Amino acid sequence: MSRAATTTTYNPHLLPRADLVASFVARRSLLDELVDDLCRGGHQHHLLVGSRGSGKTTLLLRLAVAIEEDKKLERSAIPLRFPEEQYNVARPSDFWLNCVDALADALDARGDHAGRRKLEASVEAIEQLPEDERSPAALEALTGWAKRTDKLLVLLVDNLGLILERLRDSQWGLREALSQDNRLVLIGATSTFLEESTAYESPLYDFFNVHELGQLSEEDARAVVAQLARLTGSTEVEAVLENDPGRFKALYVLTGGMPRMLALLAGVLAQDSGPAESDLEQMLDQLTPYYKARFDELPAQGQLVVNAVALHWYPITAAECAERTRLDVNLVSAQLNRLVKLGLLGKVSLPGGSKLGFQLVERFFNVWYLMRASRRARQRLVWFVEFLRMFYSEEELSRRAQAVLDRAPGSASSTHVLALAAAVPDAALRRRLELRAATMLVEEIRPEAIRELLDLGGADAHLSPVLDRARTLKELRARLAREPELSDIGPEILRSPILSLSTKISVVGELAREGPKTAAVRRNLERATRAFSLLGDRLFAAIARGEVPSVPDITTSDEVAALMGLAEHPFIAATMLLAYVAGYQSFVGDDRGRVDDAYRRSADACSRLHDVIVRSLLDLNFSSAVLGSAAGFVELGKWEVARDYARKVFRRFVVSPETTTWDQTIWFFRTCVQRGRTNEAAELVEELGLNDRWLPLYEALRAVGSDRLDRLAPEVRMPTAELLEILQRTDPDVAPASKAPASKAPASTAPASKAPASKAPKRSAKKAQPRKRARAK
Amino acid sequence: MRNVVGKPVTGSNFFGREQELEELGEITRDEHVLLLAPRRVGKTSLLLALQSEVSQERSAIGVYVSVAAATNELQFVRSVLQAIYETRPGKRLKPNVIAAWLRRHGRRLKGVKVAGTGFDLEGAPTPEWQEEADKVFTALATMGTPWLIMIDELPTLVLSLARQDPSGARVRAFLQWFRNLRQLPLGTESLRFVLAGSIGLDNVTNRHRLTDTINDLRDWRLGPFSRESADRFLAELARGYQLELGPELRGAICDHAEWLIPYHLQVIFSALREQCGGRTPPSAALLDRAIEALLSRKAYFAYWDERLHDAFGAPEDDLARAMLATCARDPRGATASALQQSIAREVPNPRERAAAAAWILDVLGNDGYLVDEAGRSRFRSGLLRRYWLSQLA
Repeated sequence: MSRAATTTTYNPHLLPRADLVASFVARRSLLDELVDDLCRGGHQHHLLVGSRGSGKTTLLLRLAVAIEEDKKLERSAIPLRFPEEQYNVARPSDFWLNCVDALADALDARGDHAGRRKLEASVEAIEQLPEDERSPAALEALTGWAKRTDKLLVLLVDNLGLILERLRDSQWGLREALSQDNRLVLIGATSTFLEESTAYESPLYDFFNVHELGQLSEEDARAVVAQLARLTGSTEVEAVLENDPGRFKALYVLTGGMPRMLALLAGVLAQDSGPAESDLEQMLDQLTPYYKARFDELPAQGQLVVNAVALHWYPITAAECAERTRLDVNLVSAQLNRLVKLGLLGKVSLPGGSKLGFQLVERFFNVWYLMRASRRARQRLVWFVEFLRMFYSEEELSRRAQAVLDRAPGSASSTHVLALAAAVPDAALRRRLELRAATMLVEEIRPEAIRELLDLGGADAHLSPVLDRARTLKELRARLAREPELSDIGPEILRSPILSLSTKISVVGELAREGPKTAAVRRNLERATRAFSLLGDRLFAAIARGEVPSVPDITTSDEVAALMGLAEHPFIAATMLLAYVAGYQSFVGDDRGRVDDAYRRSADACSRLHDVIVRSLLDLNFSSAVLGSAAGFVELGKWEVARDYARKVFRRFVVSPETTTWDQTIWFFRTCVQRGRTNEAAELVEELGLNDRWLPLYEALRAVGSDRLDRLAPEVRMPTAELLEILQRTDPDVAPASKAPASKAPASTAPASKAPASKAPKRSAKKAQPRKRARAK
Repeated sequence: MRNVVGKPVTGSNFFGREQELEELGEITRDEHVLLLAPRRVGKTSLLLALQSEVSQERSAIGVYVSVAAATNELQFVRSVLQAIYETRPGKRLKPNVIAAWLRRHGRRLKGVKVAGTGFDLEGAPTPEWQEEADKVFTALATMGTPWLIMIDELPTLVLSLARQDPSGARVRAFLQWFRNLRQLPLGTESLRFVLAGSIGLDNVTNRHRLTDTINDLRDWRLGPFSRESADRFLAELARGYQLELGPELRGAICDHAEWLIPYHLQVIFSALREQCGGRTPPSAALLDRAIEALLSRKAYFAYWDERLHDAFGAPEDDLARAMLATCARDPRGATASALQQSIAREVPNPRERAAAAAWILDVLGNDGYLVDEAGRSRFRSGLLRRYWLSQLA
């Protein structure tokens, strides 16, 4: 096909013939069965039963084409096509005259204009007759034609239930007409279960060969979507089918395997990078006429019951439904069963007992209903989350969540981000999304709406400080906006990772009052910016928004994790954090003379910060960074701190020559040796019980200075010798123990004010990266 | 032979009733017959086959007509006479133009003239429907050619008349007239009737004390296939579709159908064909899938439970459920005593229990749930029984 084919959702009769044929993929076996039956003489009548959107009309249309294109059938049968609803039928004669009209149309389409005119003339004559003669005359016109031409007349009647209802008092006559060997084959379609075909006393009891058009199998559904993709030239959809089976499975479950729904949602699959919220809104919009029609055609009590079931979302028992609708439970049971019969509801076994629950079969119908029924933003959020969970696989959700976080805020709404947060399985990702959403909410929405969306007294309590921080920063931005001379430095203040929030407030306040002093502050900020530039702009932006606290304000492991998640180079960030707290430790430890409250508070804050950061980094598996910092502390002469860091790492993680932390371990011990801490290092190994596992290293430490390895077994001697050589190797970048550390702390970015907690820590001179890696055996 | 579900079958699609056909043909040489059987057993197909047979043998003029659509006597007569007029010898009996003109202008003719033709113009209120019928049948009787007139779904009309006139007078008048028609002296040798129906004509006549109006009819029942006939039937069906359906598989189909009427066998065969998809040979696994597919038609089966409430109301619907549950446990069904026992707790008094059970069974039989066979009440449909057992028993 040189052009993209036309597809349609609600009006298959508008499809060009070629596109109808090309797009017909599912239900092929049923089509073949019907064609085969006609080829064998068409001795029975068929009834296609399926809910709206199951493909009945399309099947009838496709069957008509199949009859016309089959070499054998096109000579022996004529398909009679009718409007989808024959509203003009009130009497049997109306139906038979409609059939004669349909035959006339078919003859006209075949170029038999004479035949058409003849039939039309007979219709005119028949219409003059009294009713009791009109019906048999019309039937005779039809069957007479069939007999003369020896052709089967295949009546493809949609909405047969409507006609049977209209002809309720004449069904015996209809049955008699269809029972005779008069070359009429009725293939009817109905969306609701026909009691007439099951009621024992009904004329049409078990009269049809019934074919239920139920849910497509997953395989058929996939074939439908794949064919639609080919027809519309949608390579994205083909890629999803090929590479993301989980995504398709979710789609399949969401649509209930119904062809119409599959066609609708397949289009959304093509929009791979679009936000899910607009996907949902688009689908809701397209589906509203379809679902509304299905809901409106229910009787009043049925609507009440469906309303209760839909609002409940999860399977609901008859008793629960009765309670919610305040209807008698027997009545509700009957309605529920009727709705099951209609295919609208399905029964679900409830866990832990023999009870059955009821829920809407098409889950997306349920989503549609809830999104329309929910006025409260919080409730809509809940259903949006359910939609995300159904529509996207876990991997896809995580991918989308990461994409949202990678983009600047504003590419998705706060509701979308909150919903993603609720939907993603990964806890760390969820936390980051929540933080992002919280700051976005502060920018976007009124406080009362925030209270509605977030359960700040319960599950979302952890977001309260984030909201407060974001609001404060928003106010600071507003204030800075009123000070044009601070337009360049203001953002840098807000972005600074090492100024606490209270410091930022003070700095901004002072700068606003004492404008001329901005030069000094600007220099200090620039130095800090350069020093911390490796953390990445994304992290700075997040700090400026309040999404994560700046380092001095860190109080929880989650905040450390969030910060690390935003850093451009997480390993470097970890090292910088450790250096920062090392500086704090150093600052606090050195100034032992101070005993005032402010000092103690500061010391406590530093201590807590230190503990949180170290613990968090270990939790995040940054053990190499911690060991690197331990080495730094050895160089600074802070053996106790270094030993504490090393203990934490080696007690927490199994370190051996095969692990990635081994190089950093060797580096640490080499530093110990270089700084005259060999004995302490060896004692540490003994204390940790690692002298056997690390035998070569341990023996190397013990042999430092003596080089005596002859007491060692041969298989241990060689690796020990290698390690000894590494440990004792003098590196020009590493000063011997007698020299002062080459590291310098970064320039302080503290303002001239007296905020003790803001005094800058000293920074280790070395970046915590392993040097030339020693290959340990 | 073709797989035909629902519609009456003729020609090569009619199979497996050789014995019944022969028997019915034999009986109708000498007697009128009342053919009653539950729906979908194949009465119509059998009558059509009999019509075809007598035509081929030239032993009689066979006329088949269904009067299901008739709601009054006039429509009944018109349907029957129309069918007669469509035969070659019957064409000559069609009313001429004058008679038709007279009829349209409301002139009344005098009542029944049994012998001879001709009529008098009078204002007597003879029912029009009788007039023409009497004339035609009189003419038939005197033709010298045997006629076999098979009237299908007559009980439906009788019930309709009974509903229109609950006193029964109208039913009596109609049935009495029809009996007289059957007893025409000239027709003794040449007119034979088969009256067929699925609803109990005998129940109606019993209720209105009209058994004398049908006591000239030989009561003849059509039942299911024998196991052997069912097996041959399936083999022939499979041959028609070039399917390998071995004896075990045929036996399995029969086991699933339980009550071996052609309709049930056709339905299962059709479902099996669907599973085969024209490519795969039939197998036990595919048959199981076919049965599962049939049983999964919840809407179809759920209807049968729901209508108990409509048919009986509370609390009798629960009694009916209990009895159906008892029947469901055995493919052969349950005896009357077992069924009574199943409602003993709810209806402790033995007399009341027997009456309740009898009434419920009557309704369940009339409504298509159960059939009587060999002194037991069993499910008419094996699939319905299995569904009932799985869901409700």
